[in-house]
Amino acid sequence: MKWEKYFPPGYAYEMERNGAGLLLGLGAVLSLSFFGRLHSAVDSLYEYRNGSRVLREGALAAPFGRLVAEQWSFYLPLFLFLAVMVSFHYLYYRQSTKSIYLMKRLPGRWVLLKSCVQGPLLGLLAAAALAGLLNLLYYGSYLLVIPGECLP
Amino acid sequence: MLEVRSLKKVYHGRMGGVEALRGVDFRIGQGEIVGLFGENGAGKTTLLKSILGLLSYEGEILLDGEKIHKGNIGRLSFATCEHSFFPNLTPISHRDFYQMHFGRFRDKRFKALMDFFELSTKTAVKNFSAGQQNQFEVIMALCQGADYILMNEPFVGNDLFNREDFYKVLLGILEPEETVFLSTHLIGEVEKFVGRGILLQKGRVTGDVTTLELEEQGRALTDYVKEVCGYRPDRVNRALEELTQG
Repeated sequence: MKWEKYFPPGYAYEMERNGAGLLLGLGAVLSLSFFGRLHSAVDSLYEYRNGSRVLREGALAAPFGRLVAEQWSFYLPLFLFLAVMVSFHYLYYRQSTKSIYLMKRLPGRWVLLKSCVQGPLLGLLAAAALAGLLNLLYYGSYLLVIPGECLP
Repeated sequence: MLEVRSLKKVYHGRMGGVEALRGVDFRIGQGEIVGLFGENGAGKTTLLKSILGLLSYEGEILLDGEKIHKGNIGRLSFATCEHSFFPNLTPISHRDFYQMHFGRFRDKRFKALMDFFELSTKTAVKNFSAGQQNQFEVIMALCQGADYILMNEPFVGNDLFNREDFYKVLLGILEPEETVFLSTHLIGEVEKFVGRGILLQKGRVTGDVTTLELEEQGRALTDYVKEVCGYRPDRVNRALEELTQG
């Protein structure tokens, strides 16, 4: 993958890419706390009678949507990082030389904007894709461990 | 034809507005080589940046009767002492970038000029000396394929021989339809190179003369500029006398 095409020309993107990757990974790891909430949700369906664990009558599990409702907040540091990077990319054109003069007089209308937002947008898409995949995994687990009669 | 009509520019600050350009009017025909002269703060840089659309302004700037927009901005190029290249990129990467964005990039000229100035094409421009960086800045402006090449003090930091070389090369390679608008303090040096001089003082055009007119009058461009600016050569002597008398 040619990373440089998503960043301003000559921009040292490696640190930023690695930082974003780290925050994305952190978000994914934190989102695994879903299994803790799923465990509690399953637990709340059962009661103990005479020392044995039995399904409560008419018990309904918490809806899947509620269990994953706070998922996005785990990616908040990444979103903030990416937003800051957009302004960093713009400022890059004013550091050491004024390449902003060249960027502003390019015939392509969106070249400057694209060079500032493309990289962060890629990070955002990666976060969305990973969160989507994880949610699929979580949904599968939800269906697997919640007894059919307790599904809302 | 590059036409500037009633151009005004005010820089707004906390202490109020500063008028950098106070109604500038002139025309530059295609193929002319024009020098832009004036003291520091006269408005030369502001004028060039306004033409390039880097600053907002009042008035009109027309290129062949049309306002300057994304469709015709490629007809203008710019070399500045502030430098507008990407320091981490090599000249070859710059060439690729320019070729991608400017359809009329002059590759043959690029190779010839890089060879002439013995600049490495594979070294990041940040590793060039200050003089080489100036050369590279001008080379890119000359190779973009623009009809109007604007330059703002492009040779600051270059030695005299180097500058001489550049003027000669410039005169040698420019095609008849290429126009140069060069802002500089080195009036004496560019005298033989430019065909016309525009003098800017406190945001106004106070002089506009061709070197042919001056030749006919037997005057040098430097003298003309000094005269229009009201330069008093005895000023220094008087000041020194006053200082030494006490």
